[in-house]
Amino acid sequence: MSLYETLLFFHVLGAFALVAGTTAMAPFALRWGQAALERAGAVKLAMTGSILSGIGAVLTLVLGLWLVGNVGYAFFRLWILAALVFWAIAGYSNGQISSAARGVQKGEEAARDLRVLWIADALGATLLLVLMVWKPGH
Amino acid sequence: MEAGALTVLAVVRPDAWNFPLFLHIGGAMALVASLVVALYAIRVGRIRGDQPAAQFAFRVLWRFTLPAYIVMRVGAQWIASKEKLENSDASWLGIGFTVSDLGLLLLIIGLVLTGLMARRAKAGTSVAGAGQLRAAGILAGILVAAYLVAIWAMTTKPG
Repeated sequence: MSLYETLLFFHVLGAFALVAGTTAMAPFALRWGQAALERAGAVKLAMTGSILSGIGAVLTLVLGLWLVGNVGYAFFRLWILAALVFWAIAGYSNGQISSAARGVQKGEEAARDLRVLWIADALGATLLLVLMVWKPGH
Repeated sequence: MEAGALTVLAVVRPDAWNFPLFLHIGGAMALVASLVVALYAIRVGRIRGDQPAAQFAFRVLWRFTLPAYIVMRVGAQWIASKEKLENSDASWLGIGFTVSDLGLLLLIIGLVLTGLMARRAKAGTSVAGAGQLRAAGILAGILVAAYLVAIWAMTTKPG
């Protein structure tokens, strides 16, 4: 495997981990499947999701920027800058949901509306994929 | 020089390929993500054995994993047709289609097993520790591993 292929594989793998992590947080954030998982089960799944999305966030950002340099893309392009913004939105939302899950695990009740955060997270991840495929302003 | 060639390659992808590619990758991401949730849901169903837990495991596979698979597979066929790769014998494409087609078979078996357990739990019989749910969990794990191989094949394009 060339350096480009290795970077691309782990970058894409990171994106899959990010989406899997976000999805794993859905039952906790959206209070979905409460009868089946109960609150403790949803929190446990959300904590797994936070690990996955954390790994995914690091892989996508670090290897994404490395790929920009490796392929020779100009850094100051709309699709790259917008991707960084959406990455930050998704990362912030993921972090907030993770910290709420940690709080619930310690016995605190989640004070914030996690649905909005989760929707922002999912939307950010979807728009990231749109930018990576269409590359507007390339 | 190699970097330059790759840049050109990225630029010359026709716009008409973008939507099918988006469907394919988006579907694949949703597929893997729903399988991660399904793995956990099946485990909970096997431990608790009651109706809500067993039904949740089935619903995750039925309402999320199967539709995601269809989107991924339709996207794959569409982009392959756009790129005129339907008759290609490239090994990366072979790996992708093999994983995808065998994956559907495993997914259907997993769906049937969890569906039967959900029905049994609904009738009031506990499915705690059921071998069928264990098998469904193993199948979901195999699917996640197989899709990781497919991601490797799609990104590195061996052969």
